[in-house]
Amino acid sequence: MSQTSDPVVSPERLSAFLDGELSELEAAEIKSRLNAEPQLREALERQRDLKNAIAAAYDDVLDQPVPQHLIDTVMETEKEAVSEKVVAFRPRTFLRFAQPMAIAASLAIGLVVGALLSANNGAFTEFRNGQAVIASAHTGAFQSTTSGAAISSRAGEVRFVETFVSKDEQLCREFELSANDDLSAGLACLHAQEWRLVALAPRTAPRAPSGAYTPAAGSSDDAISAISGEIKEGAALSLKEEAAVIARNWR
Amino acid sequence: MNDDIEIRKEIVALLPRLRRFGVSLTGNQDDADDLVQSAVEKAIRRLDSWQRGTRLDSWIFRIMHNAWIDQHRQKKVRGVSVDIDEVIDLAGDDGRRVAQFRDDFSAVREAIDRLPATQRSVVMLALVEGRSYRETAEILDVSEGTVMSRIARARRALRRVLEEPGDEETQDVANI
Repeated sequence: MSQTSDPVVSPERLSAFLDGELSELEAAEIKSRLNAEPQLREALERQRDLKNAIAAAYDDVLDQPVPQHLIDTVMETEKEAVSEKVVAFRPRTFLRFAQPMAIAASLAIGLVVGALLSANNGAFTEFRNGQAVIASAHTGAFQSTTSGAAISSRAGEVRFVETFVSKDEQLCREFELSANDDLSAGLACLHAQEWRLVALAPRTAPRAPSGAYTPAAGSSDDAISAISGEIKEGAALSLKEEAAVIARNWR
Repeated sequence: MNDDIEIRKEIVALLPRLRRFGVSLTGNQDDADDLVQSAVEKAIRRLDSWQRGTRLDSWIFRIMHNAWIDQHRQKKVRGVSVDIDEVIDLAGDDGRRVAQFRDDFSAVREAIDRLPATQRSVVMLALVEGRSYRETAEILDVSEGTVMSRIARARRALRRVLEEPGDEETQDVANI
């Protein structure tokens, strides 16, 4: 006889009994039936086996190491927020010294980006689906910090130089990265909610002890600026325009 | 501030379980990690809205489940859910899809994966996570009665897929 029409051992009640979800009275009723009906007892045992198998079916996921970017998302966002600070804005005129040689040199920059990512950039960038992007943990700060200001973390400091719209209508940001004693210039553009690294190159000019930057012809950020100039549609956004873009969450 | 850092550490400790829940919802680890990422980002942004004294894990599981529903609606991540009864029909009589669940967790997982999403969520929370029906109901924002009936239906469906054929008498009695 099927038990499905029996209210005492209905599917829902037996299932709840197995999960310890019945009241003492209800559980006692079922126990009484189990004592009297070996078939029902056997069926419940099989269900208990299934329950154990279900409970263990995803155990392998628990054994896998958690991706670092998930941990960083939880732990490092706050560090960025508290360490955010305004630093001196590099004179924009310096960016206008792009040399033809620098533009030519930019062709080679992509080749060294991978190496720079690991050697220079630390946690500010990561690879996602084969694409170098601004690390998820830093995306929020990357999008909320205005040009002239910087964000910092264990990995170093990123200072934003300018924001502009590219010829293919992407929003792009040029920035400087200082990590350990190394200084790089970089360019990232927003594509499908990811800040994709367009170019990154070491800056070879010596850094003044005061923290000010010494312009030097042919240095990498000349090259990055040259790339910016190549892909830029019109002028860079003013701080007011940039603030409006930030307020719209980069849409 | 220290309190805030402690909460973040608790969230980090939850990541393996969130990834497990994510795999069950999305069907693969990559999408699961994207979902976890989205959920923890939302949780961090809304940390102030978590009420001290309530369960942090329930709060984040709820955020994650809601995030998945949003994604599911927007992108149809998993496509159209396969009704498990259809799977049974397609399996035919040769028992090719039937497996010994005692020894084959992958078959169990595959069967869970084919459950309708509403049943899969309760199975994961109540039977894998070990949550009470009440906690499961709170996370999913449904009634306890709904949880109870969904679990019973899910068990019946899983059993029909996983049980060996030719055991009709036991199956009949065990239709729970």
